[in-house]
Parts: sequence; structure tokens; C-alpha cells
Amino acid sequence: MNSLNLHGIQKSFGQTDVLVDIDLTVEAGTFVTLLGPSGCGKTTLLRIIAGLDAPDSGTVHGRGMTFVDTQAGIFIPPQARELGYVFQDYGLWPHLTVAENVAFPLQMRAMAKADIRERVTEVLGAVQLLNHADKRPEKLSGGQKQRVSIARALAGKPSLMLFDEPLSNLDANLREELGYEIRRLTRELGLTCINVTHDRREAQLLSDSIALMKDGRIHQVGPPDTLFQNPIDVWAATFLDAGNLLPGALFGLDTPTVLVGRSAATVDPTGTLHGLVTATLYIDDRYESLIQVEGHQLKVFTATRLNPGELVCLMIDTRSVRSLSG
Amino acid sequence: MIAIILFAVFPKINELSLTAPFSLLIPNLTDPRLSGAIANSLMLSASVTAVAALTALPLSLLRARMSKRQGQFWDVCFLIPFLIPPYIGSLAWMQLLQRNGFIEQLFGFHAGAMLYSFTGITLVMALNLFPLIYFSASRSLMVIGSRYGDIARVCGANPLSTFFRIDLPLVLPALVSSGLIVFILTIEEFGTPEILGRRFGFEVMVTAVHDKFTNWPVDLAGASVLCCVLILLAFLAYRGQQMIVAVYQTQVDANGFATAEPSTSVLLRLLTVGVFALVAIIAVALPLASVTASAFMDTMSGGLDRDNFSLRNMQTVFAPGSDAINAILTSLSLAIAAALLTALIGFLVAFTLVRLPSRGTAMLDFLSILPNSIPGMAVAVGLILTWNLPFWPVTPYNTLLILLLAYLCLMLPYPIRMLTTALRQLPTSLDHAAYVAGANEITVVRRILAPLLAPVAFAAGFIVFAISTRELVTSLMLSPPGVETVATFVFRQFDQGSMNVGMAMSLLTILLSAVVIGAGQRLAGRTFR
Repeated sequence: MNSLNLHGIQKSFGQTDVLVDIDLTVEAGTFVTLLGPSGCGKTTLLRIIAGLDAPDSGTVHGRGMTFVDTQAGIFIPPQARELGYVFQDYGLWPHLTVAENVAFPLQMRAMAKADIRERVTEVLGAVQLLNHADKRPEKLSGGQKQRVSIARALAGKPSLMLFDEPLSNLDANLREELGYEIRRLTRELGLTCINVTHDRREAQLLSDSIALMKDGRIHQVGPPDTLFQNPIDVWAATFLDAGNLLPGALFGLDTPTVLVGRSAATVDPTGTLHGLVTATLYIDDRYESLIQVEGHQLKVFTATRLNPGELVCLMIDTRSVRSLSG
Repeated sequence: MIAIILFAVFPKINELSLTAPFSLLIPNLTDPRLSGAIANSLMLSASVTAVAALTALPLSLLRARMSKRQGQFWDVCFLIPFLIPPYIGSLAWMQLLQRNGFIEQLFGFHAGAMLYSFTGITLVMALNLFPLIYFSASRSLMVIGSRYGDIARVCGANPLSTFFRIDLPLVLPALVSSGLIVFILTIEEFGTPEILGRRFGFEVMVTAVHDKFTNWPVDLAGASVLCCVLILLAFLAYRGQQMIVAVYQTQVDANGFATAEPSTSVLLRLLTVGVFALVAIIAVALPLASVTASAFMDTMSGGLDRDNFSLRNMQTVFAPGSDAINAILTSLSLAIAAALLTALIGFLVAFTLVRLPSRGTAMLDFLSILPNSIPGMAVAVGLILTWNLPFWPVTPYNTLLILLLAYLCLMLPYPIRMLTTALRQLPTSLDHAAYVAGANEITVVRRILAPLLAPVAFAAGFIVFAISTRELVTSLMLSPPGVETVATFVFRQFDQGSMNVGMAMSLLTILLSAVVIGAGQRLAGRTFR
């Protein structure tokens, strides 16, 4: 069963086309990220799925119902779509406590008080915030606020969850931790999730599949590893920062540009490419060096330190050289 | 909704110059009395603004180098002039400076000649209004901090050129923009020119309009022409102020707070305290003391004599069924009604304008170019002209409703502005989260926006209440026969020479304003973030 189906979505604000003929199918139980630079229309697309914006034309099907069909004049308002939505700025109501925030969607469904209490306890437990239930959001840290926001979205047991850059307001360590937690929670509950971000790390951290967006169109779709190993063109490779871009002539190829994986280049005295080390740093557990080869810059990982000014020979594993169009 | 009320004021004034042929406009404008009044108004406003700015600038410069606690103390001090309605301030100065006034009784000299002169009016009004510039300039200096000056010093500038080349240009936008507000307030002020100016035949636009309505034959055309000029001037000054804020403010704001260190020089600190104390005594202590003393004196002629002090005036004011108690009740009920209505209308308008954007953006732009408040005299004239027309089957004219209507016209801009600003600062994700959670528009307003904006709405209501209880111009012009508000009561006591009862009432007004505004500030401070 397809959990979400977008077809022929168009949207323009005044003269500018924000979304052009978007088709997207999201399988039930998968986590899909719409990844793209700012202004590519990804947030508008998410708001259209949620019902906070209406497309100029196209259809949106979700949870087995028709959310939007512009031809048939169908538009289900957001309050009737029963989705979970996690906002970038958390969107927690400052005048309500954590528990009251989480209870709100349940109250909207007119659930019995006892059931609400039980469910609130359950979801707050799932995000490990039970002992903060009676606090106001202002007393919480950024990571805790985002957890409350997730708990609130989960409370109504939605089958479709929408995330708007859920990790972008958090600092680096916390992002990874919460990223794993979102992954675990959504997989455990079998939720279908759509996430929007401009940050490739966040996309890699969360997604089963990534839809790369450019200028209001879907540019390329695929699982993270495929996408990063085989970007379809120079733009995709550059935006994803997928590796070193070099002229094909260096490898005797006709294509103007090829992509070379960072770990495909090794410093080796028998190597055929000659380069000059311009900078070197130590990151995580390895050295990262910038090497100038015939006027092109390569970023290379090495296990030992290279010194700026040093001349080196590079060996490139030709199996990881990919021709790129554009 | 508001637009209708506001529009009712503008076109109706024009309507008169439309029905009456346009030809009246030119003779009216060239009438020497009117042009004299316009010239007087402009001159007075310009000099009040200049004096207020010259008083405020040195104070705010000294304020920037104060320790936090000392600064807060003086800030509270200089809030007090806001509590004294200008007409009461003028009366207080009369008691002080006139022949046989408090100063002469205590020190043997009087300054009546100075008080009843252009200089006198200018000083009295400037002393009442300079805190506006002081607060604006000292806040701006606080934002600018010492950083830019420090950089200039590092680049080799001496203190004097640092001040003229760096600090002064940076604080200038705040100075000019608050100066323009003082200008507007002076030009629309009625009480002071009426009380002090009348004594030496000094007429400004607002008092001229008042004359045209109260002296036979009533000259409606002349009054409305003057009102148009009044609105135009207020509008221009307001636009100027907005443009200055729009162009300069963000550039200064971008640089965080790096407040200047409190000064450690003993000499400078002594000088600071001396200057602040002097200004506070003149602008705050003297008028307050004058009002308080008069309020408890049996007769003015009795002078500052122990036997002349009693609670008799207060007893007169609070005597059951007295005019005074009726005036208080009228003012209180009008003020409460105005506060509730404006807060409610303000909330609805803000929601419609900010959160239902397709309908709201154009209106918002329109609202933002309207002056913060239309001159009270123009509101009064507009309402009279509108509701005096013979074709209305029912008219609020000559009932209390017309006063309520006038207060609404005057005060609505405050709650609307406060609430739209507050609402725009609430992230839309708060509404959206509620919609996604299954709430409809009514639920969003009721459960999310109303509770979040309640403190701001209360604060706005308190401000409206405080201003309403002391409003003089429209009350004077529109009160139905036999009905008095606190302000008209005080004013009439002064006209009839029973100054002391009037002053007792004034003291009550000041105390009430203080309590209400204080409560409002506390509520506003409790907003969620």
C-alpha cells in the first residue's frame, strides 16, 4: 500500500514557480527526506502535504484518502488530515505545560480524560520526558523541546509524520543523538515519514530514501548510499558534496567532469597523478588534505600527516571514477 | 471595523468643505487670526521640541554612564511627568509661580510675567514632555553601547571628536524621531495653551478651534479647516518619524548589548547626581508638591499656613452625590467601557489582519501609516460634524455614547498596534501546530492565541483606561450638558476659581494613573516567550 502519493503538484507565488509538476510516491513505513537548497520549494511541498498551503493544481493522496484534488475541488483542511507535524522552531505553546501540549491533539479528538492521561504518559515515556510533564516549555533545553514536539506529533497515533528540519536548531552532538532516536521511534511504530532539510547530514542520518530537489522539481530520488555514490549530474554531486570533481581528460575519458570518491585517492609513490599539498588538518580519526593537481583541488583522506608544500603522487582507484553529465 | 470609525472622522470633515463650497478654504486660510494661530502652533511646537531635546540629551548621555541601580531609580523618577496630565501640570505651575504663589510665599519672588509668556508655555510643556526624548535617547545609547566609541578611541579620536563624529550621529535617529513625537503632542495639546496662553492672548490652532465652537457665532468651516491643517501636520510629523525609524533603526540594533561601564570618576558622578536631582526637582517634585499642597489647602488666599491645611477638599470631592463623585463615576465607567471595547476590538482586528493574510496585508500597510493617534480636537470636531447632521434618525450626540465613541477613536490605535505587534512576534508554527493537531479556527483563537495575547490585551486595556480617565479635549467638547468627567471637572473648578477642590481631584487622578499604569506594566511584563 502506498502511504502518500503526490501527483502533478504545481504551485506558484505571483510570477515565481515554486513547485513544478511534482510526482512523488512514498511507501508505507519508510522515511523520505526532501533535500535541497533554500528556495527549492521543499518546505512548500511539506506544507501542501500538511494542508497548510494549497497547490495550484495536482492531487495529494494520503492514508487511503484524497487530501487534495484540485480538479475535483477537494481540499481537506489540516485539522482533518490527522498527521503528525514536527516544526523546526518546535511550535510548542508557551502557555501550556509539556503534558498539556501533548494532550492537545487528543483533546481535539474528544478522547476521554483518562485515556488522554494514559496516552500522554505513554508518549512522554517514549521520548524520556516523563519527569518534565508539568514544566512549561521555556524551562526545557532545545533538545527536550524538540522531543516534546515529537511526542505531541506522535500522541494522536498518526500513520504519517511530517518533519520540518527537526534537527537544525540543535548543536552537533545532540543532533546525532536525537537523529538516532527519531529513527528508532519512527521505525518501531512503522510510521511513514516525510522530512524536509537543506542539510545533507540530517538527510543521511534519518532517511531510507532521499528526494533531491532543485528549482521546484524533484531532481533525483534514491537511498542515501546510491544517491551519494551515483549523483546524476555535476549539480547533484556539488550540492551533496559527494566527492572530488575532476576533468575526465585526467583519466583519458571524454566526459568533461568525473566524480572521484574521497577514499578512492591514496598517496602512493607509484601513482600517476602529481600534486602539491596546500593544507592539511586532522578531523575525527584521520588526516584530511587539500591537494592541487594540474590546477584542480582534491580533498583526500590519509592515515598519516602530509605537510603543506610537500609534493605527492596520487593513486586513484579507477573503479570509483564516475562520469557526470552537466 | 476600525477603518470605518477612523474614516468617519476624516471624510466627514472634508464633507463639510465639500458641501460648503471650496471657496471658503482660501479665505479661511488667509484669515490673519487663523494663520496667526497656525504660526503660533508651529513656533511653540518647534521650541518645545528644541528645549525638551536640549534637556534630554545631556541627561541621557549621563544616564549611559550610570550604574544599573542608579539608572533605574532616575528612570522611575522621570516616568512621573507622564502621570501628570499637562493641564494639571500647568495649573500646578500657576500655583507655584504666579503672584502670591508658593514660590513667592516661600522665597519672596514670583515669576508670573515669565510664566504667562511664550517662554513660560514652552518651558512648562517641555518639562512635561522631555522624558519621552530622554527614554528614547538613553535606550538608543544603551543599544549603541561603548563599543563604537572605543573603536574610535583606538583609531586615535579624542573624547570630543568621538562624541561628535560617532555617538551623536548614532543617537540622532532616536533623538529626531522622539523629537517629532514631542512635536506632535505639543501641536495637539489643548490644556496648557488654554490655561497659560489665554492670560496673554496667545492662541494656537487647538485653542482657536475650541473658540470657534464655544463662541457665538459658531464657525464650523473655520474649525474644520484648522482641523485639516492639524491632522496634516500630525500626519507629516508622524510619517517623518516612521521614515527615520525605518531607515536607521535596524542598522543600530544589529550590534548586541555592550553597555558602557559605569563611570568611576567621582567628579562626574557628583555632577551626574546634581544635574539629575536638579531636573527632577524642577520637572517632578515641584509640580507634584504644588498639586499636593493645593489639594489640602482650604483656600488659595490662606497661603501656606498650618491652619489652612485640612482634608476638607477631599471631603468635598467624596461627599455622596457631589458633582465630583459623579464625575469620577462617569470617568471610571467610560474608561472601563473604552478599555474593554478597545482591547476586544484590537484583538479581533489583530487576528484578522495578521493571521488571515489575504484580507489583511493591505489594511496593515494602511494602518501603519496612520498616526498613532489623531489629534483629540480633530476627533471631537469630526464627531460633532458627523453626528450633528440632521438626517440621522438616532444620534449619540448629546449622550454619553458620543464620549465613548470619541475615546474609542482616540485610543483604538494603541491596542491595535500593541496586539498586532505581539501577534506578529508569535511564530505561526503555534497556530499551525494546533491546526495539524485537529483544531479549527475558533479553537485556535480560543485555546492558543487568546491566552497568549491576554497579557498584552490587558496591558493595552490599562493604558486606554489610564488615558481615558484624564482625557480633556474631547470630553470638554463632547460632554452632554450636565455631565462631567474628571478632566472637565478639574478644568471647570479652575475656571470658577475653586482651585483647591480641583487640585484634590487632580491628585486623585495622578495616583489613579500611577496605580493603573503600574499594574498594566506588570501584566505586560508577564508575556510568554
